[in-house]
Amino acid sequence: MYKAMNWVVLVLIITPLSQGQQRREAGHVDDPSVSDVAHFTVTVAREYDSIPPLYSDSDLVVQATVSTVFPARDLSLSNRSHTLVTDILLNVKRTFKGPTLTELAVVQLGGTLGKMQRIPDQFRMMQNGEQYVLFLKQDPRMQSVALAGTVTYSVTGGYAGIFQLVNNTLQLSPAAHINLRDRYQGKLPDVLLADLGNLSH
Amino acid sequence: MNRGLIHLLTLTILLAPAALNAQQCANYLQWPRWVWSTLQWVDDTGEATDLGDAMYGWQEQIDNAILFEPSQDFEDIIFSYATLPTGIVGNTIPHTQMDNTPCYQKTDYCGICMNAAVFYYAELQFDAVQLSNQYDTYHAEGYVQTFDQVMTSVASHELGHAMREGDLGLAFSQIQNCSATSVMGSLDVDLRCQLYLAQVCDGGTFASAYTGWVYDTPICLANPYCDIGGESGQSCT
Repeated sequence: MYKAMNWVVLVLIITPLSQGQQRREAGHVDDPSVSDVAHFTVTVAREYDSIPPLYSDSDLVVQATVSTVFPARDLSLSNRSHTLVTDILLNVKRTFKGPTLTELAVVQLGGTLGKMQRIPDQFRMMQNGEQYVLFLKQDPRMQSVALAGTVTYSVTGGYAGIFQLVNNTLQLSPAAHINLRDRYQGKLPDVLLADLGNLSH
Repeated sequence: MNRGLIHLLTLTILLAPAALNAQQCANYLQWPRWVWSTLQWVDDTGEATDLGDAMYGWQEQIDNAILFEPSQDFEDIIFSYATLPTGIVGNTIPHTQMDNTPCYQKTDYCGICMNAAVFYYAELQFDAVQLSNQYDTYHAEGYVQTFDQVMTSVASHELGHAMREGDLGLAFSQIQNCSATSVMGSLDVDLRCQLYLAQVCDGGTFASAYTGWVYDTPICLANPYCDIGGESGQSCT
């Protein structure tokens, strides 16, 4: 009898554990020790299909090299949700528009914080040592306390204003408008630099 | 006039709008799909009326294939405000069965593999400050009358991503006479063209994205998904 009762107790204990947690339950609290990796897609205020409006809407247009990538910050305003952003320091090589700075900070949506990772589908997260031509808007709301002395910018158009220089060719964000990709993707940087030169004169 | 030329002209006139419309529907994403036909949502924005309009709009366009109801037991869709970089007004984060769940790689009673192709839950985030700024701009230009229209439009768009729909990817300069037939444009396009709710072609994209997909059926509802101790809890192969 005792043996049978033990089995019943065991089954009662094990059964709930064997029911998979297939659906997020109301009031669920995330466990930071558990890996949480997710992709995301953003909605932009405006889609840019050429350089002139991108240039016009930007406070700063520079050629710069990434010097430091910081761990992500969580700017969530809800205890059910997470908004990871990453601060990136860059050394400015050339300025096409805006104040002449030697160093600036750019904030990108996404990044890694502990076991939590948010990966953008439409653009790349910048990495140390990479070179870019960037179209930027000053973004005081995103200013990190740790970088209080450095002006922080966001990329104009979310994914539009970020052109990576790789082996002397331009690499655009995957979601960049087809017209921008047709004109610049895989091309020599001179094409973009010449277009910028025309706009800045 | 040459009869052949007239036929060609007629054909062009007839086909042109169709071609234009076809071009101005968004494609679907290779994203997870929902296995539950009733999704429970939780709202941290306080804009439940606008969110409700957006969800009802989607239900209409997809013939109630998926229904939305306020959270009782689950948090399938989480609406919240967030501080996003300037220029980004909304963000959709799909979480799949790969995330944080022992259902990983087990089949449910419908035989669906609980892997990265299946939704676990989705976060839909909105930047209230930027949406308010957008309202000010487009209201001043006469495109929108209320903030609710802006909020509903972005909510419909983000829900579109959660329904597996991609972005339209067209600049406003390319939308001739506001011929866009999808709520999946940039906010610029959606507001200028007064697209606040899911459109007919959004329903079409959803149908394509869910072709051949099995939602929960009575047998699935009667049995817990991912009952890894049950007969359906086989590892996916």
